[in-house]
Amino acid sequence: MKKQKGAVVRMRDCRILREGRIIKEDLWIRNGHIIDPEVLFFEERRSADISVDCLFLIAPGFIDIQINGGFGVDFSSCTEDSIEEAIALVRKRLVAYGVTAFCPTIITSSPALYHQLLPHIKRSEGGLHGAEILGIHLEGPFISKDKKGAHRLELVRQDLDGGMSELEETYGSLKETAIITIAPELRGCMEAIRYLSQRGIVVSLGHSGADIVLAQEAVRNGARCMTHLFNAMPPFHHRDPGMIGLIAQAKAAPALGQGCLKALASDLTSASAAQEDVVYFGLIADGVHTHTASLKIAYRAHPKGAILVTDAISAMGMPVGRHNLAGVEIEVTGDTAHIAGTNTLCGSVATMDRCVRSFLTATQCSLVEALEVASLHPAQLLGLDRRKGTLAFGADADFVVLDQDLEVLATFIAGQCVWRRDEERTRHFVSTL
Amino acid sequence: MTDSLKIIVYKSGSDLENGMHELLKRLAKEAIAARGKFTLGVSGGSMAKQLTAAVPDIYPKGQEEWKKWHVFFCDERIVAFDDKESTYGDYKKNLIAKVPELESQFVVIDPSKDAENNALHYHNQLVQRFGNAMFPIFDLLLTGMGPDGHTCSLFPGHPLLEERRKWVAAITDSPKPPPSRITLTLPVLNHARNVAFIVAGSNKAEAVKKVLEDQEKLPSGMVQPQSNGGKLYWMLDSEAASGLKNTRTHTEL
Repeated sequence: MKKQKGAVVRMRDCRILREGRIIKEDLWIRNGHIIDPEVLFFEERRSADISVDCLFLIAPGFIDIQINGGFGVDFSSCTEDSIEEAIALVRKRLVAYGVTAFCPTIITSSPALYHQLLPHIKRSEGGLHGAEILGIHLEGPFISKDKKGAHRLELVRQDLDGGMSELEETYGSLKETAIITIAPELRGCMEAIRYLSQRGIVVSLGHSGADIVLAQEAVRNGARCMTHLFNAMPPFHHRDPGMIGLIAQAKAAPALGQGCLKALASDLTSASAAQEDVVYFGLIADGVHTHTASLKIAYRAHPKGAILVTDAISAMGMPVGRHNLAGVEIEVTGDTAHIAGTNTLCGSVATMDRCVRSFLTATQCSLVEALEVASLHPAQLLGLDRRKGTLAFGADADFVVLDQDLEVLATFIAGQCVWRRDEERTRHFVSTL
Repeated sequence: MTDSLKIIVYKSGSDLENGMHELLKRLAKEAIAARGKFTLGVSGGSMAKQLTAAVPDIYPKGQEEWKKWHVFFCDERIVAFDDKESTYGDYKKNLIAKVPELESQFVVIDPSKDAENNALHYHNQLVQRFGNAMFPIFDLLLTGMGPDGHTCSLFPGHPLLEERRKWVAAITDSPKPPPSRITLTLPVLNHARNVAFIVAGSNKAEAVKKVLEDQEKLPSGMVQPQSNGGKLYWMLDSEAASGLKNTRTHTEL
């Protein structure tokens, strides 16, 4: 029998999150994937080459679908000469917070900037060099000028009258784009939502004043997510719930065209067809952007749709002080970031692991649920849940080792330890191959 | 007429040059104080000689800030730099000869490329310097006007007048030779902080009247930076202004 290459690693004595439960089970890894030890034994009569006593909780690596930068760099402020370095820096530093995959986010910018930057941000596997890049998140410029938040007004577009060619003129190639945040009320945007979702790009509604009727129409046209629920959208009113009311709907009616999650690549298939109908919503659980009560209400209304995002800005991971985000001066004070001199929040400085802990406390959900909103749900939104956001057999071995306080002890990508906390109890998590 | 549009009539060519000196000196000072640099667009024709007279004395000896100037072309002919039609060639022989520090500050075309590729090349150079914006915001664009009312390489009735998105356009059918040029587009002109038309000579008088008094739709009349909060100056000599009867003019900035 042909012996397969690659050492077999067995993480022992740990608890793992699998199929919606935390169970006491070993995690077996080979060639960057999670494997079934029974199949290994019956087919190859093999056991582990390396055993690691884990003793902690292993969860799928966190996935951040909305992150503008961090550690002093802001993607939207880069030029074509600096963007690759910025991405490299952020992806490498993110793993310390349990993030194994992310969507670099570019906020409302000029066509000149999109044409400069987007060709330099490509999907790319993770490893010792850092987290995987799952595709770009384009937040703007087709948003409502009344809900622009910290985006630059002069760059916000009034409409999308030019249709597909205007999208191309604005962004250039959308080949590496995973998500677009768009406001459905702009003229021409509903058609764009349909076109984009048919192309396999996730459409997220946000920075919008749309009411619930329009938001529902957008979902019928293929929109499958809402960008930072509660922020940059009309507030909830009991007779006019606005976009927030979509969480009551939970699922979309069958789409007009093909389901938007029928993405083009063959490995991008959703684990179950039912997932395609779920309407997801991003939540910034940094303890600042959303009141704990709001987090709890939104989560309880539609637990399967919640996705944790950091919406982190350049100041994440940086000390208190002033920073520049796409041409806007930002003031950072501990937990928060405001446009300097105003009360307008402009993205958070919370790290993903902190968001998970805050979310758990705020919603009083189960440990499984708190971990899934940061891993499984974003993977489902992107149609990647066969290989990401899960510890199922065959999935990519991207996982995070957590202690009982949900602090990140070590992060693994493709079965390799890419980061570990410098403590005695993580000494044995050496780079595995 | 409001504060944002000013028509100044100078008695002589040298008075006009003094006016240009004054305007450049003031705007360069403001721009450098506010943003650390001065972005200037220049044109061909008689302007090169006028600027050669107006510019060098802007800084007293030993206090030069030339390296903070960034000089672009409102339009340029796609010819070699030693061709007599090359606007840069003209500036090299005149202004740069007098102020050598400015040579590195000029942003030039690539004579080895054709018009279309030069438009892209020049656009990219603008993007490098003006960054993330819908349109580059120049501190000052200096342009002239032809007897037909054209400005930069934007000619009457030409489709380029409709361009709304591009920053730099190629033109290969210019009615005035040489045929192959690149030009800044109307939106760029209209987003500048300051635009100044420098117009001298009696052969321009009729066009000046058509644009400023009769409000005829000519390319020069479509330059309205005031609509975006910018300022527009028409700096004329008395011959060019001779057709104006009903328009309020000034004698100085």
